[in-house]
Amino acid sequence: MIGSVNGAPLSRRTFVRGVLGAAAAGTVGAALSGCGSDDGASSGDGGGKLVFWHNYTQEARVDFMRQVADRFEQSHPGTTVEIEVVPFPQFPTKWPAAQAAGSLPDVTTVLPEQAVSMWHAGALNPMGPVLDELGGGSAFIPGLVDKIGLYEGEHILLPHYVHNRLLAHRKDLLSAAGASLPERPTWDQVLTAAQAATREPDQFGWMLKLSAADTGGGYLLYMLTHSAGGRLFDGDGKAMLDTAEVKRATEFLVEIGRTASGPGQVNYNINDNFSLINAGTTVLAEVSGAEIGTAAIEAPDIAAQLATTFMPTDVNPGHLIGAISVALPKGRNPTLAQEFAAFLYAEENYVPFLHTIPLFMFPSLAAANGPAFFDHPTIAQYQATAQQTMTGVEEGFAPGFEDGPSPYAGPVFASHAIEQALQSILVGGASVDGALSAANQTLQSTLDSVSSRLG
Amino acid sequence: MSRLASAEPAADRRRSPQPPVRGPSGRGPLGRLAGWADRRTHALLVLPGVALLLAVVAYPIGFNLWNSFTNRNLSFPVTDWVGLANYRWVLEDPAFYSAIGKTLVWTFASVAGQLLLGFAGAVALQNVRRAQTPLRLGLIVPWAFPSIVLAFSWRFMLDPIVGVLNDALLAVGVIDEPLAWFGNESTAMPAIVVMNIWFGFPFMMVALLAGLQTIPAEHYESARVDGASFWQELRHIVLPALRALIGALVVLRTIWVFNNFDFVYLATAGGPAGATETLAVYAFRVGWTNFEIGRMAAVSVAMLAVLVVIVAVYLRVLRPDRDEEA
Repeated sequence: MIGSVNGAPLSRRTFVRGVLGAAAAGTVGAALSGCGSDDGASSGDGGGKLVFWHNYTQEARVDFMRQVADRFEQSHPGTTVEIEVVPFPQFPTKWPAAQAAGSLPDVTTVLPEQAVSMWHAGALNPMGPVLDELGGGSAFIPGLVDKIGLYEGEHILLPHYVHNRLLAHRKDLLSAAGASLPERPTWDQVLTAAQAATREPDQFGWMLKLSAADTGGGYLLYMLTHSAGGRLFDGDGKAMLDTAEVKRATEFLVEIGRTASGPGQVNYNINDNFSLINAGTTVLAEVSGAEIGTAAIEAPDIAAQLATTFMPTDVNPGHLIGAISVALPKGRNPTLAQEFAAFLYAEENYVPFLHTIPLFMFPSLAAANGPAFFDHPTIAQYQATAQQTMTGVEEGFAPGFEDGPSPYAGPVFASHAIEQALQSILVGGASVDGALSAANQTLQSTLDSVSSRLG
Repeated sequence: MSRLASAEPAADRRRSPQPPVRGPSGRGPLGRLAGWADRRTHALLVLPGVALLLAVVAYPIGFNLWNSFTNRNLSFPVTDWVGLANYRWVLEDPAFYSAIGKTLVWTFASVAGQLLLGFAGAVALQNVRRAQTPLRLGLIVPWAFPSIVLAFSWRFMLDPIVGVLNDALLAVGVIDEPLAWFGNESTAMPAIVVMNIWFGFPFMMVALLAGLQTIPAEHYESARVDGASFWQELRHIVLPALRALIGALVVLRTIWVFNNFDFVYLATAGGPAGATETLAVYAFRVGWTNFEIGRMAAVSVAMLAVLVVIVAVYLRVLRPDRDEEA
């Protein structure tokens, strides 16, 4: 027997009794808990449960996806659809953990560059059967399925909805500056308009957003480089920041940054777009329809003053497609997963989903690219924006996907080498050549790292 | 044994300890095993805690160390042993050494500012006779907010176009044109340090105030009888009395600030042009943005080495027994 807390004697027998009692209670509790949570997921074959991850965090989209799942359950008696909202920032760490634990979902929304990583990790089933069920590639916007999702001979994803980067402007502020922009403005026209609209210290023609906290700067240089007929890297993993096209695009951005952008441009990121436009701090801004749609809801007076053009054109328009896509991870119920993925594109589910936040999402399905979508009042109000978006989706590429899905695209933009180069030129005093040369080395190191893993 | 045995003064019990229980002689192996277990009950009690500590501390550290010798990447399924390649990569990267310098400035300036402001606040509060509690609560408000709220509030306040600080400084003529405090290489680091001092000084203040209140009033009274000034009291009574506490606070805050990621990243993301890229932000950029777990693990091991050196120096300089030895 030994002395103990508060003088209460504790013997080995007391201790062992306590430990055994706690262990027994724990075992019984775990067993009861296990019985209570037996929802079919632990059976190994998945039973009738289907797990769906999506990134749609807004209430309207969350609710609508639940309704879609309910309809699927009604049309598939005995099936339950478990939805988990996984915001994109969490997704890159969540799926590897789920793969390691053998708990990948059956269906997920995904960014194309993330899908390439998942495919390499052996975490995805091909989408071919779903594509066939929907009617093949012709069921989607021409060329879209292949340029977004055809990788190593397999369709690894299908675009759920799309958007395209456009150049928005405040009509009131631009006309007050005596400037205007055509629908396909050239670099010079944009530069002239941005400089004319700059009224320091409160109003700037085109406030750049070059923070290294997101990929806004990298995407902007991609669009302008693409516009100049160049690329940031090639399909073999060679960095191309030292090319004449990239240099021209960088010089254009630096000119904007020095003459028509303002202090703080190296701190702002894409999420600041709405407040910058709303406050009249920037007259021009690279946007997708989402910012216009948000303005239509949150600030209708400002939204009424917004119009869009294509991104600046040099030899090509500077399109950049965003494609939130659907993929089939290797979950427990692959057959049901294919049915559910196809169900997301069903008539009663598809266009109504796109309308949950008007102008936020544009159709990837060819059949939806018509009056059923465009007649929505908010979309009709911004018909030009909607048409420019759809044109860009047909003509443009996802960033770094000029040759189709690329394993290099994600790491290139995530490296933030471009944002750092632009910052060092604009506030660090570096020359364009010097900054691009340094960034090219960083980028090549990143690309080499990826190449070494691809074999 | 009396049922009131537990009420006996502890000193009495120490004087007449219970004889140690030994396994009954003449028992078989089970009896001897029971006796052995009886004599080691304390070890059995400690065992779960040790196991838990190993699971939550030693395992992650060991796993991190192992990762630093691999090319583990969350985006690719195959992980290979790469030896010292990650360390070579880090040690050959000029940005790593730049980040060390930025981290030292960020850490020492922040901790020094927090300590000075916290000390001043504690001394001031100590002399407040009325409403000390509400004042203390009010001053600790910064500590209560999540870092994301604070970082965005400061970004807003220091914004070059709509920020209140620029407006105020322009109004009183301190500056001629709005400054991008976070967007300028020369002002970004001072700006985030000021933000961090503002955030961290309440912790110092509350801890030091508690320390001040343990100093007997007689010490001050004796000093005043001898004609000591405020500064002499501070030097000869307060600082020696708080020496150990200040040492602990400085070491703790140094570790926290050194490893801080969220404030810097949320305010400047390491920019502009790397002007505020501390080691934590550097690790994030070279590792986490592309899920290069191996490389990030190597950076974290290097960070640990730097931190160990700093803390060792601190402990050497601030060790509590220094006066006695002298």
